[in-house]
Amino acid sequence: MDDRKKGVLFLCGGILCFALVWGLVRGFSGRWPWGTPTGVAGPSWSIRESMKASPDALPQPQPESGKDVLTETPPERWVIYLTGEVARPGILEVAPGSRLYEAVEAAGGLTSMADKEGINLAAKLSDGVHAHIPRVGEKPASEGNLTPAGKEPLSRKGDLSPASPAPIDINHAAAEELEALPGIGPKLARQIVEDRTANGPFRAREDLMRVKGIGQAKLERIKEMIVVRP
Amino acid sequence: MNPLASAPCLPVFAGWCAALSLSSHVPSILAVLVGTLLSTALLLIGTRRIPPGSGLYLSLTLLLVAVPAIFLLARVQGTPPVSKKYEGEATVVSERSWGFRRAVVLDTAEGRSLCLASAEKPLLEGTELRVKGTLIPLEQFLPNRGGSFNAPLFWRGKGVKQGFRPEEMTPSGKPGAWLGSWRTFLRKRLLFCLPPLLRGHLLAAWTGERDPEVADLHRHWGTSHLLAVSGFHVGILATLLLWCLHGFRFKLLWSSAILWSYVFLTGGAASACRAMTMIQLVLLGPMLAGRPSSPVNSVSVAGGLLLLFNPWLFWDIGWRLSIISALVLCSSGRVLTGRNAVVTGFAIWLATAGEASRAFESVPIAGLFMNLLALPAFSILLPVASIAALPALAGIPGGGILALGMETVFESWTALGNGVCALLPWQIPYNPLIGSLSAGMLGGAVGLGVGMGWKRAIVMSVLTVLCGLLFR
Repeated sequence: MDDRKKGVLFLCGGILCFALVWGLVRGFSGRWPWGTPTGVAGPSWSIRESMKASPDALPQPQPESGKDVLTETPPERWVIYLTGEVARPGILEVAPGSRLYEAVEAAGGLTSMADKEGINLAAKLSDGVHAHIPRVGEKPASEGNLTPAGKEPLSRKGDLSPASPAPIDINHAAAEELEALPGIGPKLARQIVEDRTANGPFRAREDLMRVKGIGQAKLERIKEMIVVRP
Repeated sequence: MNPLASAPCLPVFAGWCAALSLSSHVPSILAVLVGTLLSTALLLIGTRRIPPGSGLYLSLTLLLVAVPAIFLLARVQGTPPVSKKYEGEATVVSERSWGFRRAVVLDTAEGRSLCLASAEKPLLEGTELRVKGTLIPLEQFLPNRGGSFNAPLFWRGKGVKQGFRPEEMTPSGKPGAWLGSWRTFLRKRLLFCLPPLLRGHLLAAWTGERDPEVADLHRHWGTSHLLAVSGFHVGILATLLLWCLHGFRFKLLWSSAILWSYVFLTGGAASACRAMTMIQLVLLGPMLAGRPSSPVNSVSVAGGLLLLFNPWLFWDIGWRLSIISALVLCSSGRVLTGRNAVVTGFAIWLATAGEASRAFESVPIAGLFMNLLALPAFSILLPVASIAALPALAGIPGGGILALGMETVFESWTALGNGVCALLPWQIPYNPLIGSLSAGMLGGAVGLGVGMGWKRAIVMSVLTVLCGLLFR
């Protein structure tokens, strides 16, 4: 074989390798070899098909023996409303404890226009949640991509982590951290630290009112942003 | 000529980048396989004929893609540290504004930790502290709030391992770390002794820090990269040093030592480290390998070494823009042999426009023209301004006159920049088209740079566009 033919052959080989890469990435993107429901990489299945194929893959909540049978049991399926850049948007059923990638997988996978970096595929879901997969460059119409039913959106980027920073532990936070709370300035933050040093840790959030300068109104403003840990 | 002969490290580097870019999309083993396949594709597309004995080198190259890629992915996907109490010594290694607070990086016995402190707290670089508090996984400490900016990845690129929530932070009274203390001293002198525009530019060039007003001006002109210490700055200093030390014994040794000192003095930014590693390879190449180092290969080696040191740099916008610019610049040098700076400037602008617009939401069209003027102008302005500022910084009587002279020059430049922006006020927002064009430009330029020839470079360009669409 002459050099020219070899060169063309190499070129074709290179393009073939690239085609293989394309197929692998398109076929496996977003599918991990662990976790429920399918744990199987391959063509997109709906959640029902995957359950039929491997019923053991989905953990079924079983009432424990000895427990009161009247106790409310968790739903056997979570109902999720998935919209945006997925192959089959709409109402889906997923196993309790599922994560967003599992719902996406159940909806046929992401489309080519989905903003893969703009969503947290590992976000934990909950029953009745509305998850929106944004398009690249899409500005959020509301605040969130994952919105629990009947509640305000929680965060923009598709995870259920709070949009605001983690709550501040008033028993351990330094004065600088307490200053991040609305209405708490350097002086008040210092007083909080001095109070817990002098009088021991706070047992409840309401104990914060023992600090001079913090009343009911101020406590209500910061109540959701603080926690009390021993 | 084929990539294996002209730039053997390029396919390896490309494979690692492909594997890392897929680390959050597909299983690790598949990411490694894709990286290896892409390297193979690059080698095959660039090869017209295989010289005898190349099979061994080819196998070795693919092994060099796969094995370190496994290591890189294992590091990136490793289990994050758990929350735990920490009490001990810490050194402030860097600090910057972060919203209404200061983001302070502490060097502790548990690795680098990020702490958010009050803006009023005087935690300057080099300060030794006695700290007590809780170490928290970075993703928990700085939850990703969305947008194109990922805070945990940003800080991981800076070498930060975890967050730190302090309960107590008191100066230990020990003498501060000398590099940090020196940077703080230099910053204070620049801030106190020089007029605004001159100090803004020298703050960036000498300490790697950005004056917000000067940074805004350059963002408007599309020349922000001039404020990030990169190959441009290191290259200017290297050229000056080699010229000044001409005829000296151990010229390369002295130059290398001074250049590395400069890189660390400016905060060791990813782009500066990349440039310095590359320059080091170019300087030492003839001594070690007995032949000049290929520029494209040097960029690949420098980029690869930095990834091995800190794989999260792959998501650092400074590192990415630096690598892309350097690859296009080195490649165009081979094709255009420096005859056409305008084409090279355009090629670099186009190749970086996709990444820049994705990170900063848009790129100004004025930047295309401003860069053609700014690069040669600032290669003279920055060294001259540095020398002109010395008397004022040293407190020599009358030294301020030179500084004021340079301030006037920078004011004139500001007027020119604003004028160009008034004539060309348009911005290009990020969109898949500009991303594809950038990827195609990079692929085509690198193809030409490693000697593939025009036809194969076009194929390479098309495949890079498809890669960009696939991996975005």
